[in-house]
Amino acid sequence: MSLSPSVAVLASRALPVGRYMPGRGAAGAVLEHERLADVVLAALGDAGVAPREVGALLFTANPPPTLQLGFAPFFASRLGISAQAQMLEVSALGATGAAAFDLAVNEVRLGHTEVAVALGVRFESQAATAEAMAAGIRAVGDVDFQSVYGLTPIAWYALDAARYCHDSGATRRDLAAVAVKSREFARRNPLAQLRDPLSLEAVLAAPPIVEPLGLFDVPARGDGAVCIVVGSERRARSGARIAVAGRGYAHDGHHQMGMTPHSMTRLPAARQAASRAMATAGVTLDALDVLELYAPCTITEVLVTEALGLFAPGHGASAALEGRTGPGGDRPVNTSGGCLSRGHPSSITGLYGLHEVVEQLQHHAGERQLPGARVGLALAEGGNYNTALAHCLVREEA
Amino acid sequence: MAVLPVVDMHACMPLLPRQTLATRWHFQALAHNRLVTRYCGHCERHQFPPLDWCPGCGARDSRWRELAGTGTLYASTRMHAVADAFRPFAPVTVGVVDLVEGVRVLAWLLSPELVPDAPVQLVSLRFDDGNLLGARLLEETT
Repeated sequence: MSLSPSVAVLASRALPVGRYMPGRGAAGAVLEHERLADVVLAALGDAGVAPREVGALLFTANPPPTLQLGFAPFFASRLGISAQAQMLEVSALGATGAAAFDLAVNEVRLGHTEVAVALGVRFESQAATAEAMAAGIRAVGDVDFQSVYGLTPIAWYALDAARYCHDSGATRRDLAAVAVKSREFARRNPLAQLRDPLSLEAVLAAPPIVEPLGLFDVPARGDGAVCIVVGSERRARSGARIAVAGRGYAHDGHHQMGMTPHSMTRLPAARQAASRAMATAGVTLDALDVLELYAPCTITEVLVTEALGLFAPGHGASAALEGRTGPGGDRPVNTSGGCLSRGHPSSITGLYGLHEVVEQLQHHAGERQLPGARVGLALAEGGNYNTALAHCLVREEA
Repeated sequence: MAVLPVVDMHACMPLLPRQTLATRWHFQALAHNRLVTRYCGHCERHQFPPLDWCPGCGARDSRWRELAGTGTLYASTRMHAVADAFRPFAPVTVGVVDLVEGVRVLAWLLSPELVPDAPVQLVSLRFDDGNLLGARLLEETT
């Protein structure tokens, strides 16, 4: 059962992840909408679409430091777009970017418009870390019964790591291998925030942040902007086409943790969402060439690769240490460098993941290109992988 | 009935939970170092956090029950990076504790070296303006 009618990615553009947020009162500042306009105009140009032809704009909701509210109609008006189908600012925790893409695809699939755009910008690098953490603890726990204990978003992944290491016998060194191989991919990605070489020793020697995770096991803060243009089959230009072939969603029924004991390391929503996306696309796990899996911490990538069935439970970390998920490995994962090195402007990370899949399927991924890449999966999540949203993209030769 | 051991914190709570008509008995009991939550007679199971309905079956007639305050540690993390309100207490070690009654709670670990599956005893962390749950190794003879 493939998705029908068919929708294709017409173009995708992204800003290198970095630090763009101007300090207070900075002269010559480039603001959020200006950064976003750069990637949107470039993407529309690539797609051969005029702004007035865009019928739907699906924005990722902006983070709290954004001064400009009413961002969607504000931005549309500045670009000369009058959306006739839909215009929303979408929010779904870490799955926000993937949700914007999902809704953009739907607008085309439902016949509301020929062309829809999923887009987002995130400026947060200058905002106080303590403020971000104070907001974070309210997102990842019951405010009155759990946030009062102070768990930050990455602390939940640290709990996963503690349990995983206890159950599997994996060590910090095994987890650290994920940070090292992520950096190796990022060194080959011009969009990556962190591109200096990173050794296993440096990861192990880094200060602890949320034990057992250290500085390089957790994401840095960064800003970015992404725009993905999707359209009906009719709008696809000649040559290879990137079809949105499958999607899947799942919720494990929890908010961070359940009321009753359950495994926090199995991530059933990730497995279900990915399975549903592959089933709609009519592909199997073995057919996936490109995997962009939302993984803010080293442990998260380990757990999600196991949840998908790429590795047996307890073997995800050793797979990274053996080089299987890194450059030249038999199961490359997160060729962009992932959240750890490509960067993690959280609300648009889902869009960056989709962007990498598109670049790989277009065979435009340069030094990190996976030869002959044809099928890709992008997976995003909310909470402790409580929710998951997967998209399966397939390259169709003309 | 189980009165939780008390540890005085000599400080104010990092964050104050809101108490509602539906949850205040939990907070009032905790102020007296007792842990109570809701129990659904239809599902025959406890829930935590307490709600005015049962998430298992939707019934609105769940009852308050006292918990023994013992269980096992599922996982823990020592947090060095914390939000401002928690800085006076950093590093803070938070544990996920599975209680014998079949509910899962968070607690500050008083014994950071505890590893998963360790048997633990909940304690009442008494702040100047409220209480949080703490946990420490369960002594065999109490």
